[in-house]
Amino acid sequence: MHLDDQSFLELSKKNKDRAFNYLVDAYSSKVFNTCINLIRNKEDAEDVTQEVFTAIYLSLDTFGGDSKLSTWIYSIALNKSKEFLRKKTRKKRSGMMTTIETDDSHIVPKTTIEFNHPGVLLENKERTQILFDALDQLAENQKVAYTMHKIEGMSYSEIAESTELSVSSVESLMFRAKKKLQQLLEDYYKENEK
Amino acid sequence: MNKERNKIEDTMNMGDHVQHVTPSSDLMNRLKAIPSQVKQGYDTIPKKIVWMAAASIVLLIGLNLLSLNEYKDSQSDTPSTETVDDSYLSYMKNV
Repeated sequence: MHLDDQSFLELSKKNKDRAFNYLVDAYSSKVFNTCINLIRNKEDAEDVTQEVFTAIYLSLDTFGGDSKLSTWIYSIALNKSKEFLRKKTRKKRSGMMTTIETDDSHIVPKTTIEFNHPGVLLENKERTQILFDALDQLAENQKVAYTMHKIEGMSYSEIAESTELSVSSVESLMFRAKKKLQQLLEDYYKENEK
Repeated sequence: MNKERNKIEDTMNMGDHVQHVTPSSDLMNRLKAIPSQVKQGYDTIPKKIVWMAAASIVLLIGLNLLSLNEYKDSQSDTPSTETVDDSYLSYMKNV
């Protein structure tokens, strides 16, 4: 069953639980993949996905159709994932386990999250992890834009809609992200091939 | 140099190889259970809060009444300034 946003709003007014069940069926996969691609740990991504849908259920009455349903859901998923990552980064910084100052390479994992992404094949795991660790060194909005475009395959206009930015801002974010990534990886391989 | 550039390029393209992950049935069950859990939360938590709030209000009123009584008692024990003044004036007159 596919509902357009207007039909969904009507269903939501008539029967909130049925409308919510529809959202779970239609968007759980997308939300989960967004979370796992940003968080990169299956268990944590599952918990955040649950948080996302709880937030959706609690604020379903306030969704008035001003933005597209998918955009609304996507922005909640993005915010919850970012919030989770910030908490994890803060925990690591406040703990005594940070090695940022002493590590020789420029790519240092910033969070305490254990890499556990079922979508990454074993033979690609090492290099994907290097990419993900490098992504963690980028500014948050660059990281999000790069992940959405390169990993989730979203177009610039879709990213612009979900992040409430203009397409040109997304283009500029992507340009800066690629440049910084190239630099980080160059440094990384130089250090590790010495 | 070219080898290194290829390596960097390959690493940057690793995102293309990340496969779509299907949510587990356990997660789907957790998501479907959200409405009942939220409702359960609404049913139980407010009751506790209501009782706790009611108890605090009763306690607060009780304490206020108690201190008010004590204050009244302490006021009635000490003679008022008027009485002191009167007795002082009459004493002075007699003197």
